[in-house]
Amino acid sequence: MPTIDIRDLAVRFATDGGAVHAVRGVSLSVEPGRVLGIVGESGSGKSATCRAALGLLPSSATVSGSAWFEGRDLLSLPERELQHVRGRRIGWVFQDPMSSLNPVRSIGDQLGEAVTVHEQVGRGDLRQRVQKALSDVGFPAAERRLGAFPHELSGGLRQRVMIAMAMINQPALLIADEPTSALDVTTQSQILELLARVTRGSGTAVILITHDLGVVSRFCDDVAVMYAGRIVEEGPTVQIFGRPAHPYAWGLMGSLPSLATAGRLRPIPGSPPRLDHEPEGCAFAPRCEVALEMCATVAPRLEPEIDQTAHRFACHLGVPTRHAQATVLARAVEEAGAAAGRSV
Amino acid sequence: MDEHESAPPLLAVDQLVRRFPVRQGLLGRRSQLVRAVDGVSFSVEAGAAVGIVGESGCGKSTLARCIVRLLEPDAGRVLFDGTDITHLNRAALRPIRRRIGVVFQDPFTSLDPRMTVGEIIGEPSEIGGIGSATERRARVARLLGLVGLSAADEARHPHEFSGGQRQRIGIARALCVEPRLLVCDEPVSALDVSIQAQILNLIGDLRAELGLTLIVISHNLDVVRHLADRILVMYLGTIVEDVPALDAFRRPAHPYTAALRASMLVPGVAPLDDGPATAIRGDAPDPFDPPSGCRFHPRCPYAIERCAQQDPGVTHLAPAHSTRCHLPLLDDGSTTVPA
Repeated sequence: MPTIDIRDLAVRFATDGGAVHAVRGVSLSVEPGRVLGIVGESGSGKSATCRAALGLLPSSATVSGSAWFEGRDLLSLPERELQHVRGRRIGWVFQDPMSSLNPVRSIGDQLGEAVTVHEQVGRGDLRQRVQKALSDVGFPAAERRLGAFPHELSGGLRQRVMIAMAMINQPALLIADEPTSALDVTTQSQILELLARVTRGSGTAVILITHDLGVVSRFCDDVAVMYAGRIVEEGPTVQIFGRPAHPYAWGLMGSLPSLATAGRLRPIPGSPPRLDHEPEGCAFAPRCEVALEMCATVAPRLEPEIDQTAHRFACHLGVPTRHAQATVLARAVEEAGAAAGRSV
Repeated sequence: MDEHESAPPLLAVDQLVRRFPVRQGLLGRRSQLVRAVDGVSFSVEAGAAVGIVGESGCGKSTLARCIVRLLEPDAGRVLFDGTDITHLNRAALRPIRRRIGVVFQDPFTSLDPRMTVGEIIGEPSEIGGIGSATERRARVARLLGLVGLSAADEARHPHEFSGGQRQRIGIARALCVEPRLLVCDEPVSALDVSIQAQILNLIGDLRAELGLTLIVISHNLDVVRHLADRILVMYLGTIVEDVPALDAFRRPAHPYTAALRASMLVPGVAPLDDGPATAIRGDAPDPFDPPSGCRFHPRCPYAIERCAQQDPGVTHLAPAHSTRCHLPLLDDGSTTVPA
């Protein structure tokens, strides 16, 4: 049974300029001990999806759908009960640890409170649990530094404190929203390895939200690619990266500079759509190099290419996509080869 | 190549130092100096593309700002086309400023929201008093086309544009004075992945088309490698390696460069359990109190006693490859001295 099962989630924000359709019918689930990566660009709805499930959206948001967790629908739980689930059964780590930590309280206090708000624990036990949580995340000399304040710590250490806080009650689900985007690259891998280590042993299900395909390919078992409020492709990481099916997914992978790209990159033309109205048809169609006429009017459904595979994508092209993809890739390889030939 | 060697480099930076006083304590009474750029020297030949890479706080942006004189260096010299511009006054600096364009990281805060795109792009030439009003208008129209915007965009305001388009506006503005040197400080860090490639292509195309000399600053080794022929790796205010772009990946000599490369998570089909992505531990040290000897030694997996005591000078490994390390890595990734 999945740890969390989100069905048909939709999130609409009321703004001065009218409604913004941030999430438009997202269904996803994560099994215990698995890591699901949600990738997408800013505004794709990846954060709104998870914040909706946690009940952390502002009051301007209208949410519909369901999010089943331990037998209850989080979206219909009263705030009091939701508070009890949040922090105790669901931990979370956000991008900027400085805005999630209280600047005027010591880290020991804050970690302790994360426990005592949910259960009664004696002082000695609490201290021990806080110390263990900190040393589990590789916080050096934890026993002597419970009195440290957030501003005294580096960005990497603060994020370790956040992970300790998220994991201190051994939650069934951990939601990490861009946990390393504010950190330096050499610190980033340390923090991601830490996340993988502390969750893998405990059977905690993880949702990792990121814009970084490298992070996903290394740390996630499964991937959901979001575009304009919908999942356009999902499946095991190996399959998504091995043979991406949706034109947006292979466009993303083709647009990254890497050792393999000589000369010009192949960017996705145009920019992501504004979501002040629900796009008709496929939201990616205006940027899609292989769009058909019907793509502009009929929205494709998320379906497996062959039955009973976990790899699903929302594109009318289906099998022909493969052909188009092969053509485009072959052209790119040819161009890269020609460019490399010229520069040598 | 040979005939160029006698010509002076377009840009020469010589022992540049910039310190910042940082106030500490409750009332900001205690003041400490942090050496953001600490004795940096390098030169850039006309037409070259040089990348500067390093993590936050390494001094790469401060260095760029000193080069374009948005900041005054505390010591050292900056020579542009053979002229020492370090201490030029405003008036004397003006013709130099016309030869240097700057592109900033954040296209959301670097454009004045009250001005039209045409005014933003044309402003540098207006301030510089370049050409007549008609000529300036024609130039703006040409620049819009050059960066892939339409002539109709001239009358619009920045908020009507997406991040990628705003960065195009920023680039057009930097090119308005027809610079020889274009300095790009994190030009794509604020942009979405699918848009980054558009801007990287644009910068590469403009360099080829206009014969620009390029300095690209980024924390992302891939971005720098894509645009630059040569990479300077900075750590805590100093250049620790100066290396041809491809060699930064294939044969890095400094353990920090190797660690940066190892930390790049390349998308692809990688198993989950192929060991740690990087051999280095801990965070960058306190810049107020940089470590003795080699500044990287507390995090370096190969450090020996000498590294803590003695600052490694510059070692030349090849004509275009130098590093500040007592034990530069060999081609096969091993160190020069057996453990």
